Amino acid sequence: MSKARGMRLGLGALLLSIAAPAVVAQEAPADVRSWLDRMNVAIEQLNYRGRFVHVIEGNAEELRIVHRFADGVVGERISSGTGDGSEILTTGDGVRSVFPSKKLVVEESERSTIPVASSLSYTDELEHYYQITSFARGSVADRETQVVSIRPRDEYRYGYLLFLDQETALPLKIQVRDEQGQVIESILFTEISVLDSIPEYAVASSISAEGFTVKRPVDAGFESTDPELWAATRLPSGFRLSLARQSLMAGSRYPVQHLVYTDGLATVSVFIAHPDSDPDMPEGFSRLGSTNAFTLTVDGRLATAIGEVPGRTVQRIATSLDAR
Amino acid sequence: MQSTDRKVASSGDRRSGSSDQALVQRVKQGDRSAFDLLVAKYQHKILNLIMRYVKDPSEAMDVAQEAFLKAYRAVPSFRGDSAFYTWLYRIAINTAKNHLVAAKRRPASLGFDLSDSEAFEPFAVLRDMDSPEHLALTDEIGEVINQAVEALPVELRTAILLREIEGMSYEEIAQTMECPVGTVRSRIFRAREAIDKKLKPLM
Amino acid sequence: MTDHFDEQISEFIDDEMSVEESEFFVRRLQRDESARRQYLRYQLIGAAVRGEYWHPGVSELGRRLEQALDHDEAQSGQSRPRWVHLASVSGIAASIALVAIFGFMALEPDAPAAGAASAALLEEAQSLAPPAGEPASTLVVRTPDRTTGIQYMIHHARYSSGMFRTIAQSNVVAAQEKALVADFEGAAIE
Repeated sequence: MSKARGMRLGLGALLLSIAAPAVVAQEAPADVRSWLDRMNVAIEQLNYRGRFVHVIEGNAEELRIVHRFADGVVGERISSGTGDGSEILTTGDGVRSVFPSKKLVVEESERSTIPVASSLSYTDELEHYYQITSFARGSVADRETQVVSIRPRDEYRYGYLLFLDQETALPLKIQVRDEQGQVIESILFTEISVLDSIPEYAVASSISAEGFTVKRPVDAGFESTDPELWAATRLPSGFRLSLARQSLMAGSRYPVQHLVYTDGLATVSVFIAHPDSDPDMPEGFSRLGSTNAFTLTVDGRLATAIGEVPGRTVQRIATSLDAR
Repeated sequence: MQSTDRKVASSGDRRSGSSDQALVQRVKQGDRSAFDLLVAKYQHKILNLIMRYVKDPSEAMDVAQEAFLKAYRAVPSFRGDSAFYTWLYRIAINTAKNHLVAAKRRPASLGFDLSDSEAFEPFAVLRDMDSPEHLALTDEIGEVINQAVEALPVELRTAILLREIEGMSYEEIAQTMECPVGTVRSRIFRAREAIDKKLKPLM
Repeated sequence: MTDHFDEQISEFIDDEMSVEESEFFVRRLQRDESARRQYLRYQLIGAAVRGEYWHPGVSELGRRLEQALDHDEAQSGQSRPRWVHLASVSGIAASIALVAIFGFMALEPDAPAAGAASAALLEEAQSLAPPAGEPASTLVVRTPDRTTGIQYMIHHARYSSGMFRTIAQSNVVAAQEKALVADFEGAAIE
């Protein structure tokens, strides 16, 4: 570990503080947005490892993260704190999820050097949909943080309270708030080390998957693609299409159309699948922390909208899908 | 004495909306004045919510009134499965949406049903309230409050902003400001007291 | 009024009293006109600080409601309005429709917070727990090993910015130890 840039936070990190001489004056919107830009870059392009507590639905789970950025490629491992639970590995070739309790590995091929959205920068258009302010500086243990508040201007998106490390802009605490201001999900780093470099083996799987079932995309010469172009016709204001692609899901013979909509901050994905791809797929609402999904059948296709937005947003998008 | 006990109790109970529970209980027992206190608490939030759908302020006021009326009538069936505000929020959204649907069905030239004598009364009240003197007064109130907030010592201002803007509990503010919960309680009260001193003469 | 009573109004507004304290306090508040006015001013301060729009007529809302309710009571035979009955029907229909594509991950509903290493973490967890007395809004679905929901999350995360990718992937990992499949606030009045 590099001593030069290393920092280690104890459990005291949970006690976030606004230091006595806190600066309460608000920063100009552009300055605050630049914090978000810095955060995006930091999350993807720094080398760090740490532990964090993930809280949803009244449950706290301690997780570990190792993030490597080398030669322009991200490698990451997020795993359970005990080390024998599940883990998700991100590489330049795709994402591999290992679920020991199910003796299952799911491998998704998603060739990409760094996730697309990490290069986005926040424009003043974002201010139409969110009120972004920073009215306080705080500290996490001995680390100075900038507190950034992102409040939605309508009920189609969530709000966020971010405590960003002054030096690196890494988010040391993230709170996701619903339309009534209640915290519905949070991430709190209890320990983090920012390093000059991280060896490749540190982001490799730590679990022996011997005897596990492995689900991979089935390259069975499937009948190519859905000739129709799908689109959501009633998007909440500010959301626009940022990507339309076709991909193969692990374990499936059928290609899936994947549409990505964003309001510049939050993202909603829409998946349009062959009805036989998962005949038991339940329709209606689902929720996991701040992630909401809505599934329905449209014109004989199974459509699911999913994103870190309120249920009404995914419902509105999914129910307005139309094949052209 | 109770700083430790209270800290735990407050943190645990806060999410259940203890003040709302107490007020709703009174309303269920037929106490309409308790409903007034709930209206006073949520009227601004509900009006802001409705104005996302109904842009005209006077129309939004009517929809807010209708939403609160519906809520009052339905309180006996409110079981407390969700927080009171969540329940009220849904009623308000539904009322606003129904209003929009109904508005589309109305003849464009007619804002309300002339045969309904009740429709006139709220409008009459509103006209009174829309007088230039009253508008000036509300502007003044807003300005006085904002100036009073600006003038607060930094600890008091931070505490009240974290409470009112971020909706944090005393426990969360205590963690954020690294001070005891009792200090947070006192800072928030002192902030309100200082602002109220400027506001009271106007009311 | 004493300073202590004033401070209690502030505490009551912030939902920082226990239910019992609140019930006692409401009775006291209703007897004291000056305290009620102070309660109203404190609420007004909150609205102004939050930058909420306020229409001049809002201060009259209470009076308008009062008149409408007087009218209501004079006319009604106190029977429950029809729309309330309809509400419970639609509520049932909504809950039947609540399903979960994340069902794959659901384990035990009350699984302990494994790995939560300190009381501080548990306190944080409790602070996010559903309100006491609220029936479980969590719908635990034991389904066969379907992975479509997770796979969608992973593909979705790949095209989200860093913070959201971390949130989505943490959800997938953490959910292994928990029953986190929840229903949606679908039931509606009317």
